[in-house]
Amino acid sequence: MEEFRKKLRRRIMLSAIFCLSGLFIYFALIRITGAPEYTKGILFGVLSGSLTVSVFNIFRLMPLLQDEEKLKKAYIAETDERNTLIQKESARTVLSISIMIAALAAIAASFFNPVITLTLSANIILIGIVSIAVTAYYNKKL
Amino acid sequence: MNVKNKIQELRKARKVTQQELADALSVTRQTIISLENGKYNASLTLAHKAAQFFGITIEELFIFEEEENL
Repeated sequence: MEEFRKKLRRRIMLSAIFCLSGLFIYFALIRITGAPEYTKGILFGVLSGSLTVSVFNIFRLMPLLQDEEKLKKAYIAETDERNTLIQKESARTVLSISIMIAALAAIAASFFNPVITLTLSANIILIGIVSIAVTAYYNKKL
Repeated sequence: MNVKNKIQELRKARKVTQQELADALSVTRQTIISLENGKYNASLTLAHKAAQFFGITIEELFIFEEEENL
């Protein structure tokens, strides 16, 4: 349980570092690059989304460190083998569905805009390469 | 290969609740429910823990059935 407690502390720390560095990078990018309004909007959207998730994580994890019972429940929920299997299966299914949707979108976009088709195709190829690399890694590791 | 188990039978015989068993095996109650319903097969580690909890061997707790027509 002590290991899990350390893990949670590390997560809280990383979330806090992520919040601060995210804010710093955002303002640095805006100041240094003089980004156009559209890019500023995208950056702000990414930053606010990430900050919300990080702050939510911090407020979710902090009480667990104070309460032994809650900590044990969280440990069981995280290490439960059925939960782990569900997450793995879900990730695999989501990946397959995402690739299929991207492929369909690439085909649909080919009727209107070749740039979108190329971007989506490059995205699919990249996901394929990463999948092969990750599979090869786990083949060696396990 | 089909795997059946006697978890529900033994748990009820010993008057242990699903939550108590889940706590003893460090899994969620939902995992115990799935095991009892035969929807989920336990890992070797969990099978070992469960067998230890009931004081029997893995072979006594889990019934391995060879599939026919292979």
